[in-house]
Amino acid sequence: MASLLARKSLKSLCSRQLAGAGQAMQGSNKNVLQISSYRFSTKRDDEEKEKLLKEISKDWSSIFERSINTLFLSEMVRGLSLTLKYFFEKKVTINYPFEKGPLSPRFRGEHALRRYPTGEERCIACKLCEAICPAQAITIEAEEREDGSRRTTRYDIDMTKCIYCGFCQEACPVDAIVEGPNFEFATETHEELLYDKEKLLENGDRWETEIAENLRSESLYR
Amino acid sequence: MGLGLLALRASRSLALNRLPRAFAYQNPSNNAIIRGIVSTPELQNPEAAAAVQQPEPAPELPPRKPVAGARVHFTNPDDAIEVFVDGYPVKVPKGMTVLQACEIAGVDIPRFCYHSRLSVAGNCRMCLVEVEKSPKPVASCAMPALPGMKIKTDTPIAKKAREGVMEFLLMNHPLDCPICDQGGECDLQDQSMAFGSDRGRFTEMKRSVVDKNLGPLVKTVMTRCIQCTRCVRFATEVAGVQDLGILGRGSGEEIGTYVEKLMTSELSGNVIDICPVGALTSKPFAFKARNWELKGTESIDVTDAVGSNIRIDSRGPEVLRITPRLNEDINEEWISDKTRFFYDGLKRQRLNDPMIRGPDGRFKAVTWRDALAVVAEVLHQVKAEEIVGVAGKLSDAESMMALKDLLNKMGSNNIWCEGNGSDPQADLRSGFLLNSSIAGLEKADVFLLVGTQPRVEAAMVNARIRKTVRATQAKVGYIGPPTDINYDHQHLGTGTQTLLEIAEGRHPFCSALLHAKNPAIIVGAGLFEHKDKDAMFSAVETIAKLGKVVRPDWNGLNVLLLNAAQSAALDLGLVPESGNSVESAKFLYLMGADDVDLDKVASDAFVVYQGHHGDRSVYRANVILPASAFSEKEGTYENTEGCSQETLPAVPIVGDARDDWKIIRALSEVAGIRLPYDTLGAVRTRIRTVAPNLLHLDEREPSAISSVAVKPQFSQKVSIAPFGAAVENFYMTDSITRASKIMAQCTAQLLK
Amino acid sequence: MGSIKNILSLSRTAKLSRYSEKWDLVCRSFSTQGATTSSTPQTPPPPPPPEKTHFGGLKDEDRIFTNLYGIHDPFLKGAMKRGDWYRTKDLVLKGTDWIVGEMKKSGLRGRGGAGFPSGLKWSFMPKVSDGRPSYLVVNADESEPGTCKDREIMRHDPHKLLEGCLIAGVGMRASAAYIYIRGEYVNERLNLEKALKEAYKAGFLGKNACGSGYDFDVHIHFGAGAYICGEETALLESLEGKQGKPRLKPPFPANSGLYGCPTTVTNVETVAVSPTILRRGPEWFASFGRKNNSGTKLYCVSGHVNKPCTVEEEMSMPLKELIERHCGGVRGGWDNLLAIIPGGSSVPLLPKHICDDVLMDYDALKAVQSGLGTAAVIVMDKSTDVVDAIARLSYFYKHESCGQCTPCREGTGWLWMVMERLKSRASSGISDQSWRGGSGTMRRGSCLRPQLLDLSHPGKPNVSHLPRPQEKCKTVASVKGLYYSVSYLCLVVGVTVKAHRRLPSQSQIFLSHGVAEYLTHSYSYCILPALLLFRFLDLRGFMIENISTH
Repeated sequence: MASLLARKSLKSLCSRQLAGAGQAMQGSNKNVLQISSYRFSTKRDDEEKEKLLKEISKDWSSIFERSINTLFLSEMVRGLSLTLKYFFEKKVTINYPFEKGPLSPRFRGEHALRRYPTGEERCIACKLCEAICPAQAITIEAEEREDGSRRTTRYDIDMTKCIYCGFCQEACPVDAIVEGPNFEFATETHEELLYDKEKLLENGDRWETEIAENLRSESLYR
Repeated sequence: MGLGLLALRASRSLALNRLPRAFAYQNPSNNAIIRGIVSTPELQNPEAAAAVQQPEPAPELPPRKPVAGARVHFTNPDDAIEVFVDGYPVKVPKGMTVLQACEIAGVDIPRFCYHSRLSVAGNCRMCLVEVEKSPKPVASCAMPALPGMKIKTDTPIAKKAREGVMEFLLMNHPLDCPICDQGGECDLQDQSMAFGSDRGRFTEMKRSVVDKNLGPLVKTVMTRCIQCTRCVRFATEVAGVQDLGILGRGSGEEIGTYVEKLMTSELSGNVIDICPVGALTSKPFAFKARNWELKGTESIDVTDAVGSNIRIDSRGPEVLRITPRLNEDINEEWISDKTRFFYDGLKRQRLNDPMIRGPDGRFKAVTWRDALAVVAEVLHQVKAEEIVGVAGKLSDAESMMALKDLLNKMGSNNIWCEGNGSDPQADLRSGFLLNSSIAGLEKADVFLLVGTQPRVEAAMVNARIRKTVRATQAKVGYIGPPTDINYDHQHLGTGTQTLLEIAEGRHPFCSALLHAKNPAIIVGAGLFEHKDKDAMFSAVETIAKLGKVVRPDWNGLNVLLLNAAQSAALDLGLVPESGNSVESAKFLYLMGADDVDLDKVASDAFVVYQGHHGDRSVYRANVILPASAFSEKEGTYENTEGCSQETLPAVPIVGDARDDWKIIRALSEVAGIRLPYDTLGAVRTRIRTVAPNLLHLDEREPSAISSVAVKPQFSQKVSIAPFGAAVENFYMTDSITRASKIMAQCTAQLLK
Repeated sequence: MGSIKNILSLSRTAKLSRYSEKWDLVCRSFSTQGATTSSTPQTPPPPPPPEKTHFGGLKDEDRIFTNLYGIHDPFLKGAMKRGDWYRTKDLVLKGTDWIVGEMKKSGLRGRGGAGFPSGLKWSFMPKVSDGRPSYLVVNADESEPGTCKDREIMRHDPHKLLEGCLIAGVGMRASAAYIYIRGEYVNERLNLEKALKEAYKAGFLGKNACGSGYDFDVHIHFGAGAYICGEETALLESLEGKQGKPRLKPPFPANSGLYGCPTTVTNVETVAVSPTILRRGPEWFASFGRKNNSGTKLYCVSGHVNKPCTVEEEMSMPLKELIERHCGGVRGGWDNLLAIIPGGSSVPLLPKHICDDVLMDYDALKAVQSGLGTAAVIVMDKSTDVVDAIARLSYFYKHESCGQCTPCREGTGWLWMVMERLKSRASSGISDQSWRGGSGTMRRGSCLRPQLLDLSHPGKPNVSHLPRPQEKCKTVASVKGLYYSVSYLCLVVGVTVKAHRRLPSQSQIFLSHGVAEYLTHSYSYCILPALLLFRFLDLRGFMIENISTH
């Protein structure tokens, strides 16, 4: 419904603009411009005149007040006092690489492939993440493992394509692919951001505690 | 569960949304979808609004199209009855079921057990509809439509009934769609989205069933089975094997083989297609890909002479599976296991680069330029009559045309297609075609199979004969080595002796033949290679004359070919000049020919092998020219009934290989006898001058009625040697199937 | 050969027709009762007076099955003494139309459960054969829980059945009869086979049966013990050697039945009573019972009665009288009665207040939304837990479901599991609403059976209407109370009490894991405000009122 409304308004906006433009197109261009500039100039003149009149009409008290303000630098004092107040207040900036700010449990950072507590990888190669990925950043190849289970032989994410929309973790039926809380994975080369299965599983192992905690806290709302 | 499906749907609707609006207005079928999204267009564009309103003169019932092109065929116009589906009056022939009537009326009824080519079981109860004056919803697949019946398909009762059945079906169905290969193309998935409830109430334990081993082709996950019994009915009715059945009863019901046993049918792969859930899936395809990743290419099967219509599903450079396409005239909707599963041979044993055998007997990869130069040089050194060309089983018409032109330009006419024998008869098309057509076999009431085992030679033709035998109790007589035929038949004899007895009218089967309305004689192409071929064929023609097999309204004298290239080769006139040309050849050009008896080739002969697989002939070749396989090229093939069809490239060509005709064209240039065509279209223009029927795609060109006995009566002595089997191993008949691992498994496990 | 000609000769038939006026009289005097009870021929009873209001109390001389309890010799000698095979030849010679006509006049309705008029059913068989033979199939696959009438006939009066086969076979121009005996009936089969051998030896069956010139064979088929094989098409499948699963209808068996030939499937009792009806006349038979429900019937009474028995009684007999007179009454007196299943486990049960005055016939029981079925009366006294009883029956149906159709295959299992859960945990269960949805779909199968199990049937007890032992009711009540209290939490949002009353019935899923889980799940933090709210609104009265209605 909301989308419908949004679309409606967008459309009406568009049409209005078009209509305006159309109007402009219809008349001869120069003419219109001249007329409008002419109109504008007269309007501004009027306003200035009015302003002048108003100032003249002001009473003495306001003049007095203004001069006092100027004389005693009261605005300066007020401003400095504000500065002084923040000088003594607690600092809000953090010393980033050494201090970290809070992160939402829903934060979508670096991808990771999780494992079951037994060490078995969770991913079952259903390819739903691959299908839903809007940036087509995921590539999966699968085949039957020796024990007959369905597993990936290849799970690649191109992190430079990824838009971190989180659809992959939404689509995952087994909570295998998740976007963890890590956002510090900048690299020097492009190639390092082409993640393969090994890298993703390693991410999962490293971040499992945090990821599990985040998932648990969000489980009620999913 | 259906997330992928949802995603697909969402993207589809998005795509539709992006359509230009004007297009939407022009196309009323899209209108319905888009109307919900476009908001009050009349406010913005009064003309467009008028355009929208105009094509709707407010008819009570907008017309509907029959589902999936359902056709009504009135055999007798008096039998038409009128029923009302959701208020639409529909005329249907008497005896049609309610479900079929609904389909004609454009209402798709959900179903699991019903399949139009199988008997009606009526056990899934998904197709319940409400019929006026009926106390309870009726199973539409089993209920014959009666005159004036008022069928309602979208009433609360019908919806509720379907929802209930769906709930019951999902009760014991595992929720393992993410790991199920059917996911994305599953009837149960789709229909539960469309007709199911949005929540479940089942909190008890689900049932689980032990998986069965049905062989190397069909993977079973029996817990997913919904007991629709389609596979059981397919096996008993179409495939003709009594392998599958229902064990147990009630909630303990299972589909199985009772005694642990593999499914030995040559059509077993089709149960994968008809299974509405993921209980029976393809074993070689298991977990390989999702159906939404695959690119489908409509193509033709080349492993036998039937030319089954297939869809090649590929992802990137890899063919991942092959599924049938519907063609009522050829393969209906089935394909044989060989057709379905040989595709892994396309990846193995491929020839990538041109190669020349060095003096040490080892092949060395060279450039095309060098390879062609060597071939051209040798070509000019040998005498014209010593040049021999053999087209392989899988050759398309274009390349055979090019090869023939090349050799003719060199002055040689020793060219033929393997399988056609040394002295083929190519003058009369009726002499090598399945004249009554594959679909036409259903009209026959007596079959005489001479030296052919359709079950292994052309499984789809065999399925058609079986269908006919089942439907009309047609009689089948078989002459040939003892074999496994899956319908009632009489084994008349093993060889020529029996044939002569029938021709002379001494055999008891003669009476059946004489009394038949539409007798059909099917002669196997295996006889082409036989010494006494002419005598046999004249005996067959005598029988045909005797039984009035060839009449203006019915031509029942058929030849069942073995290979995809055979009939096109004969149409193009690939007939060798001399019978023993291979022995005398100094330059042998094998275009994919792997079944030539290479022992006969003289040791000093120069053998060029142009093909896509390193198969038998490669061992003798001096030069290898890598070519593209049927899945990588556009080529014309004519099937055994004379219907030309076309393959389309599904995957890119492997390595440095080239299309066959291009190689020959290049060779001609290097050899200085440039062939006058540069494009495939130009080759086809050349073909038009020789065999225009090859260019009429998807049309069967019937042969002119031949007058029987153009040949003299058989007089020469014939050997009484029994006929041999033309195909030893159903699963391995050509270079691709011989390279296939799956086919090797089948051979090992199923042909015991 | 000559004798047959003689028999078929015109003079003979003429003679017969001349005697036909005295027919009733003659056959009565030699009928079943003649030997055992009165020697004086009775005058034919006057046509049933319309004012006849009380039924029951069948006299001994009017009983058809005189060896029901096996005190006499069941075999040929004893049977002939009781009047079986007496002048059967003459009955056969009277011809098909006469037999069917007499059966129609007698008003006999099929005794297998459906109650279809037998004469009419027999007349559906093709009059002129198209080359296919016709068959009579006797359904002796008596598997309905509570039913034990056919076995008494087969083991104690097998010759009545065999003679009936011949008569019915002639009536429907059948060339052979197949008796499909249920697998578990071993002694019955042995007796029947012995009787069959005797009958063949005596020339009553086989070629030129009874010397009438009619060739008639009877075959006995031994089932393998599947309830579904009592369904006629499944029985035919089983008889043909296939899996016993119902066929699709149409075609109906009368067109294409056993081996594709016209077939009529009838119950043992229907067949076995037919010779006596013909001997004693249709009027005699029609004199019993109410209109359209005429005749005598074997009732099998089991359950909580003092003397369970199978008894032949008049149709339309009051249920109470049947139990009091023949079974020594309900255990602990009539007031201890809880409910009665009047016609085998497939028919809805009757609560006591209906049992007080209901008549045992097709129409009366149909009027109270149950059915006569096979007249297998299952009595339950107040010690019965109806939930338990239904759980046991649903286990039977789950076990015996043939599995062909989805609703029954899946539904019976589910029903059983739900009933087991209800049985074991008073607190749990799904609301009757939710089962209405599911079970309504269960009556969509090929055979009738799932329909019989349907809980949404108005006559079937709903989960909430089940009479239950007191203590369980209490638990249910308390649990429900808590459930309501939870529901009342929604009141915080400001819903009025009145609007809220509808909430429980609207909610589709009555949470199955008890209130505790429900509370801890997501609303636990609201208990205290809820209790306060309760006090504030003083809802106790409302709760009690609701619990009493549930």
